[in-house]
Amino acid sequence: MSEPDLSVTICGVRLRNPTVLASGILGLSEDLLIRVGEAGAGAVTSKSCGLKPRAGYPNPVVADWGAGLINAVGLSNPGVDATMEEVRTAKRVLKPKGVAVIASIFAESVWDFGVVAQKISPAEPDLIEVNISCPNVEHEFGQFFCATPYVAAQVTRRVKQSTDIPIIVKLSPNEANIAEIARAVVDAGADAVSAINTLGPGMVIDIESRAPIISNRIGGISGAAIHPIAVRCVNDIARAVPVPIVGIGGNAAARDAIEMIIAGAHAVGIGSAIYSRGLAVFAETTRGIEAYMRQHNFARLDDFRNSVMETAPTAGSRIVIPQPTEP
Amino acid sequence: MLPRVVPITGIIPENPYTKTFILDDAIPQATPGQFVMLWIPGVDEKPFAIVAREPLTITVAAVGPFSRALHALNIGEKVGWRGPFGHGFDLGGDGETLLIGGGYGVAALYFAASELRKQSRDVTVAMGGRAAQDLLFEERLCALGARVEIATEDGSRGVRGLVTDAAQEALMRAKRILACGPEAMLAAVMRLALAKNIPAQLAVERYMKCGFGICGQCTLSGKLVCMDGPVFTAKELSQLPEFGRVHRDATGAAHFFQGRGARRI
Repeated sequence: MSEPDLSVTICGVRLRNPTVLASGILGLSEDLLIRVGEAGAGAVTSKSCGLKPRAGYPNPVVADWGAGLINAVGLSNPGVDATMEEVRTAKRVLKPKGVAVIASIFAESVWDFGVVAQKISPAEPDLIEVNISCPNVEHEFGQFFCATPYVAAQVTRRVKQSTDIPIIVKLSPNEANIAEIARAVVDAGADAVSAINTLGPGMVIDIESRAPIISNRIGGISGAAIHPIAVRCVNDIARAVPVPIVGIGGNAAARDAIEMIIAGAHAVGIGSAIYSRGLAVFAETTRGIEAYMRQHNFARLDDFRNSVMETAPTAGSRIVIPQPTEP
Repeated sequence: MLPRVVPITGIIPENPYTKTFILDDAIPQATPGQFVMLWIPGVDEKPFAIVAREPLTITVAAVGPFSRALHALNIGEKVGWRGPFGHGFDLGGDGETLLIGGGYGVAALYFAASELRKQSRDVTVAMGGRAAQDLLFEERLCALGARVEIATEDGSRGVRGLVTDAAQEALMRAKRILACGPEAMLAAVMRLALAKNIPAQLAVERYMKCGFGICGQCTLSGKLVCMDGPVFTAKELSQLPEFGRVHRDATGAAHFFQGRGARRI
């Protein structure tokens, strides 16, 4: 059998392997994006940037609570103008190495999403990820942009009108029906979706001082604890829309990534696992997927993508609804 | 690892704006050069070099809102800490070790000096400050049996000049250099060490958020000060264009170091 092909093409952009550095992790400088790309990632995502610089919240902004991380960094970023230079440099260095660069953007209004998208575009990121799902700034920005299909679609349309670069819309697990939001953004022009952003928000309290550990009181939950929820969300989305999906949430090893791909993901985001596994997690995940493909005689990722076995509940657990009888 | 919140059991004034805090806890696995994140609930959390393991001790100069809030605390009040984080100094090898400290950087070196003196190794500490009142730990270092050389910019103690002037004599004997202090001083020590071909390890400071290698805030030309550092070799630092030139604020925006000694591009 020939070598398994681990490459994947998302919206015309080829990734040498399906591992993606998730937004908000390390993506603060071009040097770090380049380092992660050189460590083996198929694509790297810059930290979300907005129109203006934001210092974010005071520390602690991230904590390890035992079964995952909690964070509320507060979308700190130096502003789109500075991030543009970061993305431009990262792209110039990483393109010859076959690593795609994704620029993540956020904004405080539907209109500003378009402005930020327009401003980042000259840096020529391969893809733009539209972060409508940060759970930590609700008290600043009002309702999440992904809270209703209508607003999520509005943001998507606005970004699509503002750039020619393909866009990935990042969805939240914190809404009742993620498939419905996915349908709305895809109908509005999203080229791909990524899921999930952090779960929650959650809260961790220090029992000595009775203070919340995170300065923002609440924060998004990530890491191993949320992986099963992320897999379910990816599968819900895969059943609802035909666009590529970047599956993110608790991926820490090849098994997690393979599960995501079976659920329907084209690529797999890795973030919190860098804390426990280091940057080697990208190369290890890729090697593990390759071994799995050899073992199962899969030539391409497509051969097992979106291939969850359809199962029906057993007769004993099925709820029998009595049929109305004719009078 | 969540922060452990413990009472302060001792506070020692070191100079007009620096205090040592002894906590009701121990950090037996810590090595010199490593740091803890110190948390005042409701205020902020900042990285500080470990000064002693048992009890966990740190020394803090009041230079910003967090350190001023810490200075306002009394014995019995509680603070949180997590750590140890980062890579510390490698203390191995024979011959005399020269510790070069500027300002409150001397505190981080005290832990290394005490470990070296426990093994009866030869230690010289060169310390510098703007004036006599900026110095700290002189008596304690002497009590360990370390040789102490002093320089002040106004000449109010020791030789008039920079800490590198105070280090001149010891540089002839030293087999390795450990340094901690303002970045301009570290850059000067790096150049000196490379020119004289003395292996040197320097502890670098950057704005930190997570402290454990995932947020990227403390990037130094792609190295993470919290994980890859805070101690780097002079050779490593000479390969990092941002060292001595660029630091980042809370937004992640890069700024050039200002003033004397900043490396020029």
